[in-house]
Amino acid sequence: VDREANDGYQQPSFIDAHGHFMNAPQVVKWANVSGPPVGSVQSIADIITVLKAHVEKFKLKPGEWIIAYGYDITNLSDGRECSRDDLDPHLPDHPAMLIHVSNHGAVLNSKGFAEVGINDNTETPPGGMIMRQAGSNRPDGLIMETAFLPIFGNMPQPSEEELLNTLDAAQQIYASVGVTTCQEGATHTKDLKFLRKAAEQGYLYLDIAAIPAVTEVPAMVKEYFPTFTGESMEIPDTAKESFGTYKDHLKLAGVKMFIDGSPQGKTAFWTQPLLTSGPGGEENWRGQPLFPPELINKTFKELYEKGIQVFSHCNGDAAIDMMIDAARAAGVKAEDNRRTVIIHSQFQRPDQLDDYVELGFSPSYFTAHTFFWGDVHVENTGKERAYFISPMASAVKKGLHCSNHCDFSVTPMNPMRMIWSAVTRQSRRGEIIGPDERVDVWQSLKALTIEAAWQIREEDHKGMILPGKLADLVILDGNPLTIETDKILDIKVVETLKEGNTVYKKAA
Amino acid sequence: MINKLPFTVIGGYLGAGKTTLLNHLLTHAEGLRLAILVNDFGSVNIDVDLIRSHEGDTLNLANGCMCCSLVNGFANAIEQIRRRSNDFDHMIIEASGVSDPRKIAQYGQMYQLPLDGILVVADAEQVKTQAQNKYVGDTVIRQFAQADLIVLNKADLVSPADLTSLRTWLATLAPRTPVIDSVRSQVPIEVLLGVHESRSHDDHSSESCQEFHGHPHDDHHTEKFETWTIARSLPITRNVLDRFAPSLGEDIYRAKGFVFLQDDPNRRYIYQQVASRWSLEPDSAWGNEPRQTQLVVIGRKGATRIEAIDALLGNDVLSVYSSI
Repeated sequence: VDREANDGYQQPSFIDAHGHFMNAPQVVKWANVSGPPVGSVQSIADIITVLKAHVEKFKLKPGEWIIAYGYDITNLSDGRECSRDDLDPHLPDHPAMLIHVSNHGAVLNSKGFAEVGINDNTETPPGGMIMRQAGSNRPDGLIMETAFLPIFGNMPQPSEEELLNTLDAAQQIYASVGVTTCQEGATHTKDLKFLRKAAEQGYLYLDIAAIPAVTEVPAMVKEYFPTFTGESMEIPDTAKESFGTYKDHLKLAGVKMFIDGSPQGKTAFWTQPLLTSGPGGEENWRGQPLFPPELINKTFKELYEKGIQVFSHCNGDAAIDMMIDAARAAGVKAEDNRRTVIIHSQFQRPDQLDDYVELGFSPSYFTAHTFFWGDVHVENTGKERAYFISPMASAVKKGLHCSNHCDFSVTPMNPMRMIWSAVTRQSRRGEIIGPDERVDVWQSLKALTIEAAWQIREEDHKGMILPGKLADLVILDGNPLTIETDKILDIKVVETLKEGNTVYKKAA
Repeated sequence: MINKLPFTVIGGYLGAGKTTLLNHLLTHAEGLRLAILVNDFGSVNIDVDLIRSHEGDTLNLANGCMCCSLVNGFANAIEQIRRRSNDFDHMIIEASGVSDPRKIAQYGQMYQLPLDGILVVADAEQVKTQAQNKYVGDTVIRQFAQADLIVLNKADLVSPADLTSLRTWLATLAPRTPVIDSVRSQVPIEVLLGVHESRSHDDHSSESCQEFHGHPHDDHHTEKFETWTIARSLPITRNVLDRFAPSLGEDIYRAKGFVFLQDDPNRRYIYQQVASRWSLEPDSAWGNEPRQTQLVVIGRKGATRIEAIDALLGNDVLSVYSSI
């Protein structure tokens, strides 16, 4: 396809190098009460405005839940938590739950409290928090941790039909910012069943690369290979044939291993302790792995021997060491071209870059962390470690293929912020988190296109504009290569094309 | 209803014997209906004859016990049990080899369930090597510090001298935490999960004195246990109870029973103790039942702490049964 782009700058569309597509059908049904730049909330009054608009937009009937995400007191000019008494007069007919930005808590209104059965007599469970009003037992609004988690776990789930009907809006989250290949980066068995159904029934128009979570492998083997009699983590020899090819816009790309948690939640696994205390107030805290090394080694070897590509979540350097050990034990060499993708690779040590070269590992970085949590990382780990997070410049110098991602919906699907953060590494406070690891715009664009395509073995038909490649294109209203750096964030998508067909067009 | 279901967390590193311990509990439940949450029941080797039905992530056993896999998450497994909470006497949660059992216990407590105790199983032969592993050594050590009882398993695979030095080492990691030697996780269910009401009634109707034995064929490596049943007719003050638990010492593993409390004489109280963790909870009114304190205490054979019992009973000894 040779198309004139008189109205903007045409380039290959973006590839989501790592995120969670199955969060999208949920997010589109929720109100966004985040502060800038994720949302627009800067006061309790703004929250009310957003929630009322949400009721209007979805024509919610009395009694239907209003669920919102991104609530955070630090965004509120009021300087206090939002209370049920702020919400009640404006939302008398709907139970409301404003999920905290950490996903570990929420603010509820009175109807919400009644719905989940929390009242003045509810005891606060160990490890939890129910904020009470001064001088009384009356819950004020905010509940956290163990007081919240079981309630969230028991919330009514949307039906399959409802979910199918949100898939257009879900794909528009991607298409509207120029992304035409999405990743479902930790697919569960029921999600895979759902996505297969959605694909077969023609709901998908963007490509989705699904990467089943390793913990789901036994259940999937049971589902799709019912006669297989191997042990719990064994995989049938023919399983690899299920990977690598799109059918109705859905493919299996590999299996997702995960070794640790997140650095901002202090659940990543580092070799050296943090400068601050652990998530439970622990001293000398360096996190811990999610699985014992014996199990990680065995699982990786099985996947490697059965010819299945591995995508492994490693945030801390000790988690990365565990993957390096597992690959060495399995006998992996770079020339095998297995393209083991180390998702996040955030707190990588400089010496580990050479191990990546030797083992053919490819990092998928998360440079937007320098903006969202860069200041927190400096506080927790000191400048030397924090400044080397997502070290894209060093990795490129070593000749590594590296992509960049936003871990949707952990941060918003916004390629311009990914480009900007890779180029500036500027934190919320304005500190440059590792000046030496900044890359030029060209490199940052490659990380979202051709390099991301390489990691999922699609570089022969995606990620560049060349004869024989798919016409997966985006037209931008500004040229990131020439525009002033700080204006990159303002660039908007004019049109997005998937295989030559328009999948998004900005309203005139 | 589910509020009444006490739960135990079983922790310990990969290969320590957690699964063997679960199998042991399932085959020796003897009327105690256990709901067990396991990481993966592929690994629990349940006798096929024992399985009554298999539905999704749950296995129902002929002896009234149930296994539920944690593969679909903790909330989901808890929900399965919540729906049938009247069918069970006790819940057991298997912690993964690298998790902190105290955090798992917190998950249970957030559903307002009473924590009975945290057991941590150790492999006598491997544990010191595991504690030095650069990735998981600190986790292994942290697990012991969180235990109420430590089961030192595979005691037959090390020499008596090594066993002694292991106990000394464990005492530095988990001061005052009882350590029970075992082979193939064979520890009496009364020690692991406590004496439940249904069974303690049985105890009274038959013999009060019992001698448990860890493993019938291997006297050398496993412990002998002993129970005492204590009864007192005069009411007890809270102060006396406060002193009772810590005075029992680390060779006493458990105590459970009813308390006749001086400042609330019309209500029966339930006393429970696992090592140094103990609780006193109000129960129903005494009604027509005789008002008396009645506790069953289990410990290492020969570890009777007469002075502690004396302190509790004063000179109002209604009865003390010892088991030897």
